[in-house]
Amino acid sequence: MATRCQFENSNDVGVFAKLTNAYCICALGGAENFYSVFEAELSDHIPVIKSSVAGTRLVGRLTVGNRNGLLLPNTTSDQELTHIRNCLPDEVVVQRIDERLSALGNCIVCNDYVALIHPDIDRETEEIVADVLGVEVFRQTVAGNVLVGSYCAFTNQGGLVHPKTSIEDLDELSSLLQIPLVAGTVNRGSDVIGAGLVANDWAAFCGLDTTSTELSVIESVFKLRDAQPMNIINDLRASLIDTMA
Amino acid sequence: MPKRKAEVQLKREEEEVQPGDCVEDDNNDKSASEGDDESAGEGSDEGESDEDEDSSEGESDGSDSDDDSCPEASSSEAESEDDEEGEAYKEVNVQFEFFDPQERDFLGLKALLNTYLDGQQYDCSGLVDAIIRQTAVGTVVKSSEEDDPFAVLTAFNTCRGPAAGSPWLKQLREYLTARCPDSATRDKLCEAFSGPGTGLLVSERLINCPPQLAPPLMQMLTEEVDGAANDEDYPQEERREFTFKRYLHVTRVYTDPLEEQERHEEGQHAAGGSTGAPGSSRARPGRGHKGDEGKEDLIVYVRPEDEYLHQVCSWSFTFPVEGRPVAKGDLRPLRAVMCVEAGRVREAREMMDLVLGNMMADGGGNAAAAGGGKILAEVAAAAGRAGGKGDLGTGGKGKDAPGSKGAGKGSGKGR
Repeated sequence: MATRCQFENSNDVGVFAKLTNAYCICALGGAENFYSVFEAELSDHIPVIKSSVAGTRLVGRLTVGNRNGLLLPNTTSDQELTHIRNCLPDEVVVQRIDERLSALGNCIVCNDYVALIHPDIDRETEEIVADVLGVEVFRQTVAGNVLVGSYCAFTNQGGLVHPKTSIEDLDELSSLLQIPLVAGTVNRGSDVIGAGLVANDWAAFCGLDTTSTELSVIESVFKLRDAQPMNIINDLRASLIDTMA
Repeated sequence: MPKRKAEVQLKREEEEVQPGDCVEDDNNDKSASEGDDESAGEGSDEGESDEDEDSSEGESDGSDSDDDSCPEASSSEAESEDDEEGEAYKEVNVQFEFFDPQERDFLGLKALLNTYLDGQQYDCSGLVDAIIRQTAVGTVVKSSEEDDPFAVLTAFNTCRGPAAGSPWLKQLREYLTARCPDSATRDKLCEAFSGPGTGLLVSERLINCPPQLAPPLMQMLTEEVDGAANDEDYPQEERREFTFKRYLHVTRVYTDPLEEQERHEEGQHAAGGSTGAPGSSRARPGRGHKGDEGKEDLIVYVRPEDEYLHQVCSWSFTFPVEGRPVAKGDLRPLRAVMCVEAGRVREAREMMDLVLGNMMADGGGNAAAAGGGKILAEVAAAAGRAGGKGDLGTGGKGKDAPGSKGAGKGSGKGR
């Protein structure tokens, strides 16, 4: 289910929230409205926590994570680190890393299996990403842009990339990531996909300005139409029984 | 339908690169102060801060050439001049184009108008939507069709038509009424908002937009409004929507605290009466927010049309913009609200055209401008025939990444 929301009149939901299959982090401050939209959709299944990172509300752009782990920039304070560690499930490894490019959310984008990183990221960081997040890492650009985290968003089901991505690039990325990709926009024509929306395997949130066309593209590429967490399990069960019969 | 209305060539002054400097060093200032219109504001600001650096690097190249090598730029402003450090300015040709607001301008306009209520949240998407849907009246200034707008001017009827009941209009009205200095002004403001035939002017532009943009913008506005009000192809209802008796103009001005302090110390209490010659930046006695009896508000106008509209307005008031830190000695930002009878707008425009020259109206020189006048007439007529609401499109098309970044930068300066 794709939902529209706003953070204090800003449509850039992906700046103020980080959503994965195992947890969701929202920015502090801002109206309770924002937080409650996330809670309503997600809190039955995963913890939804509020935190700041490096004293700012830009949790979506400074952090990167998936169900295996969460990476925080070196500017994160100790209290924030402790708070996040306490709130997240134990399976999620929370680590603070030293990386010159500290806006991790802009430089790294990942799902539970694969990650794309900014071409200039340190080798060390690349190894930590592969280790902590348990993913295969590729250095790539999206539509000629090095900020992969800003210009694309993907989950285990599918992904949305910058509208000016060429067909060749789309095919290349799609085969790297092994998921269907679509070039499109969010928030009524904004090409900064990563900042404009957050998504996991069963839910997505985008800005209020998103048109219904954009929303239906998002729902179809991320396979959200009938996706409820239970549905995923049920579908699996149905196909298993089919095989046995 | 041709959306482009006119082209205006302007000369902008720019710092000259010192002969000894290597390109990399000047990377920042050169690219910033280039004729990159999206960051026009940023460009000139950076240019100024870099002057000090450059002058300390070496002798300045004293000679400047009057750069008349560009034949198209007819009604350009003054030739190169030296600034106070003796740096030479070089002229750069900059091209501004005037368009109808289109769906592709949504994000750029949103960036411009986000702070329309000075930081207070309001339905900005609704306002931008209304601007785009209104095809008959409204102009946007961009440096090319794909770029982000850096100026917009349009007019809405406050009690008829699609804009009338919208949330953004209510929010704007509440915002302004809450800041009226006294109940008499509040009554006048409420009456203007709810009475028939009032056109609310929505005007926003980046800081440091050249003043020469204003006369063509105002001309296009008046022509479009007249066209919409009188075009027989338009249904009666829509024509009435654009028959404005008066305009409500909400704009940004500044006040100079140092000068005010000086005048206060000199014991000037010029009550009533105008002190300045026409064209000076002294305001006539407005309903000042200071509450000092008989003391004039000293208003510094950054948009040329404001000065002349203020001179012919029926009433006006100003209020300070809260929440913005202002450095000592800097001008303090204010908002000004004024009500101008429709009949007097022509006067104001004529005064302004005398001082600034109107690139669109000028007969000689710029072929594009002359052609632009014709294109404008065609557009107004075509808009009249087309009528109806604009097509919002699917919103599926993206924008150039540089364009959106420019808008981001620009909006910072636009406050």
